[in-house]
This record gives sequence, structure tokens and C-alpha cells, in this order.
Amino acid sequence: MEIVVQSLTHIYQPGTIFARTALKDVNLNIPSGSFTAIVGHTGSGKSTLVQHFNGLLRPTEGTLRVGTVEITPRKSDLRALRQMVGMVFQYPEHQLFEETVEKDIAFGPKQLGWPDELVRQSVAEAVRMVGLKKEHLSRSPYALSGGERRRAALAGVLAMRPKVLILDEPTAGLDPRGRREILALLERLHREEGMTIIMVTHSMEDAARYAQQLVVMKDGQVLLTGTPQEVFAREDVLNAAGLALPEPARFVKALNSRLERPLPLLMTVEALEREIVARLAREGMR
Amino acid sequence: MAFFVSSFFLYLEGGEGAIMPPVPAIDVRGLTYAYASDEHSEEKNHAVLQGIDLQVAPGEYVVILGHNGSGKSTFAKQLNALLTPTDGRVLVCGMDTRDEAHRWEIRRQAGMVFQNPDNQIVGTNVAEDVAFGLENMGVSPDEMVRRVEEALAKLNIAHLAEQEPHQLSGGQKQRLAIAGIMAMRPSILILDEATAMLDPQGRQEVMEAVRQLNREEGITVIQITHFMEEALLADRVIVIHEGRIRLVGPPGEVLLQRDVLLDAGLDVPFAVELASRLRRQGIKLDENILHGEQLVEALWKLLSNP
Repeated sequence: MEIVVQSLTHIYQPGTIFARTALKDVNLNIPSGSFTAIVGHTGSGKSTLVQHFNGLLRPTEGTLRVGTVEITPRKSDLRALRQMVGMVFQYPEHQLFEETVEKDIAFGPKQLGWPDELVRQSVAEAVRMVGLKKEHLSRSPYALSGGERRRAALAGVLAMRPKVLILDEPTAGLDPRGRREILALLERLHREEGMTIIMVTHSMEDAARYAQQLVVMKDGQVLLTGTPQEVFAREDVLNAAGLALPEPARFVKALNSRLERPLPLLMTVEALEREIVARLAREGMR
Repeated sequence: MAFFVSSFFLYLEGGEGAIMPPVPAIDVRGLTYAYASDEHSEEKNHAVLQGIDLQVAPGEYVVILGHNGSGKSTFAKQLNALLTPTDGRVLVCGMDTRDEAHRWEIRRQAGMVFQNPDNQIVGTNVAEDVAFGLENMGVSPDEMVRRVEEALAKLNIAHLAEQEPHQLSGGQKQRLAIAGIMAMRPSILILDEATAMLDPQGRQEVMEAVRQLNREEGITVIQITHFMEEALLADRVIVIHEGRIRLVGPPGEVLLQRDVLLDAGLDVPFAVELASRLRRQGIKLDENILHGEQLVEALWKLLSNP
């Protein structure tokens, strides 16, 4: 499901002395079925921007279109929007509240007024997608591990069968294994279910590895949009936004400063491994 | 280096003239701990910590790694008597954590910073928040002003003294939490994933402040983290897995154990991971490559030779 943002401005508490412009004339296109990472410093407007995508915030000026739903300063079909666009907040497990994991996951679809059979199917589907086990369902959310709790919270959003999934810092506070599990899950939802994924992140490494499109934000504006390759080639813009290159790219840069023929700016350890092995093989240095 | 400097001072100051051998900052022997079983726990009476031995010298910088549920946070809580051993013992600056008479002095000596910056602030402005612990200790107003100023300066947040806490960034909030601890003049700082909720800049601010306290004030640091770049800077790294110490040693030993780290659900430093992948492809590289600069050095030679 495509998202088109046109001249979006958002002012918090407009017309008061506390008025603060959080987004200023943002234009953006998120293609249907893409995996987009939004990066930027704390306070750059990332979270404010994505909260427009499911109607939590309404533009002060400008418009958005999510699929066929139009959102203007005066008009928005929240019901249609909230079902199509699933929003996973930071630390979503803090919002688990039901007695059992199963009831918690079923809460959203029930609120949508779906018949019991459809609710049951959707819950089962969501549980399968996030990789929770049957025995987890009857437990209290509090009896799960941190990584499992986060997946249960995600299942609660997936059970509403959204076309677009927005995640604000989905791996914050998880340990490395939990982080890898969540990212692998997003990758799978993108690839196998064709979901449009929008991930707000501080991790340049995760953005480089998983996203097809990067959006760099600063002071409420979009500084740059492009593929990871395109964005990370613009170190000047990243620096202006207070961001760093992903670690593999920083490493390539350090290595290139010593090489006569530089390596391409690669984003993952796997790509770097292949490139170095190929280069040495070509030059007979093995 | 930090270790020798500060233990030397402790040596001089120990007991007003009487020359005493330095006491370990932390001395853990045979520590076993089981949470009281409750309705949520699957395994009743399962010991979270199973026989941990560890001595930390004054001024040492120790990083503890372990996946969620490995027991590392439970261990940290043992170090300032928030929890006490089921079996074995924990001495903090020579004081037994089971001895209730020592409990407040142990908590003054070993201050703890937690993960969430928003859960640790009580004051209505920054200076007041730092003073909170001192008020509870009954420090005189003059002394209090002096200590608050000193603590704010040490954490580089003196310019924020009049600010309201909610106006601070995450990194500033965590430095405020540390300032509140420093005002109590502790000798040990325990950080339980204190950088986990911060953005990269906030993380760097906190790390720089903590390293400075370690180097310049000789504060013993026990830091729990998942970030490898933080572990690379420690004097010693400890990997806790299933309630036991799985690895312990300087970063140059522990962080090279790629397979053990991955098996324990942890990350591996980037240079270690890339070097290990290249070695498996038959490329000859030094086994001790830990930092990016070392790998750059090695690869540059391989790639530049005719």
C-alpha cells in the first residue's frame, strides 16, 4: 500500500505560546511493498511523521494519501486507516494487559467487530507469523521473556491484518538475539506477506541491512531519500543530520584511505567478506 | 592503569595513617541465588545464579555481557544489596551484603543506574534532583550546595542545573542519574544497561562521562551492556550465561571467542566477525585481531602487495 506525503507541516499546540513546528513541508513517497527505514536524531520529527500514517496525528497543513484514503487537516477516515496501517510503538510490550497472550492478541480484531471465527483465524495466523508457540498462548504475558513479549505485542497488531506495518525502534532494549529475531521477522513479513514496512531506527547497521529505501530527517524536514547505497554515499548530509555511517561502511572508508584502488562502500559484513575474497582471488594473493 | 593509580590512593588513605592492604571493591564467593518461587515461574526454585566467584579491584572497569535472562541483572542487584545471596557471600568494600547494618553504606558506596532514564528522576529541577539523595543522608546545606555543583560539573551538565528534568535528552537524564550518585561520593558505579534506551549520541555522552569518572576519579565501574563497542573499552569482560561465569578476561581474550559469544546469544565485534569469516575463506590473518584498525592494517598489506 503506497503512502504519499505532500507538503506536510505539523505544528504542536498551534496558536499558543507553546507552538512548536515538528514537521515542515515534508514530501515523501513510500512505494507499496517496500521496506523503508526512517533515520534521524532524537527530535528530528521521525515519530511525528509516522504518527500521521495511521491517523494518530492530523496534518496542520498539507495532505497524505495512504492507499486510497486521503488525510487532510480537516478530513480523515480513521477507521479505515487504523485497520490498514498497524502501528507498533516503542516498547510495545508495556501495553500488553490481558490475562493471557491469546486474549491480548485477539483484542484488536475484536475491537474491529470481526466475527469470532475470523478473530480466531487471524490470531492463529499472527501467532504463526511471529513464531510464538501454542503453549505461549495460555500464559500470562508477564511469564514470557522480553523478546517473546515483544513478539506477542507485534502479533496483536498483525492480527488486524494490516497492509502497512510501522515500527518505532522495534529492537530497542532487546538483547542481540532478540534483536536479530525481530529483524528477521520483519524481513519475512516484507518478503513473504508483501507487507509495506516502515521502521524508525537509530541503528544505521539495521537500516543498511534491511531497508530498500532510507529517509534521513533533521529538524522536521526530510534531508535525503534514497537507497542505502545512495544515502550512505552522502556522508556530508549524514553528518549534518548528526548520523554516522554503518560500521561496515566506516571500516571500508578506513581501509580505502590506505588503498590505491578503493573498495566499493559496502553495508554488511557478508558483502565485505565476498568483496575482499574476490579481490584477493583476482590478484592471486590467496 | 586506572587500577594501579586508584588502588594506590586507597592504600594511602586506608584507615587514617594505618597502612592497610587494598580491599577489593567487590568480592564475590560462591554466589548462588534463587528467586522465591511464585505463580509465574515455570521452574520452581531454579537458581538464577549458580556459584559465581569474582573479585573486582578498586578502579577497575568491568563490562558484563549476557543475554536477557542470563542472570546478569540479578547479579548486578547483588552488588548493592538490592538482593542478597541464597548461598555464598558478596562483600562490597569489605562489607557483607547480608549484614543489614551495612546496607545503607553499601548502597552509598555502590550506586546503581538503570535502563529507563524516565524512572530515576525525582526532583523538579536538575540541581534538586542531585540533592535528593544528600537530603536523605542529612548532609548540611552548605556541603550539599558544594557537592551538587561538583557532581554536575563532573558529568558536564552544570549548565543544565536550573532545567526541568523533562526538558533533558535521554543522555542528559542518564548523566543526571549518575550525578545524583556521584554526589553521595561512592567508590563503585553499577550501570545496568544504562545506555540501552539512548540514541547513539546520548550513548556516547554517557560513555565518555563514565570513562572520565573511572580514569580521573578512580571510580570502579561495573557495566552491563549489549554493545560491543562499550565492551571493547573495558579492563575486563565477563560473560554470564545460565547463571554462571562463562568467560572472563581482558577484551583481547574474551571478545575473540566468536563462537562462544554467539552461542551465548551475544554480538561479536565487527572486526572479529569479519576476520573470522575471511580466515574461514583461507585468508591468513592474525588470530588476535580485535579492533577495526588492526584489521585495516592487516588487509591493507594483503590487498596492496603486488
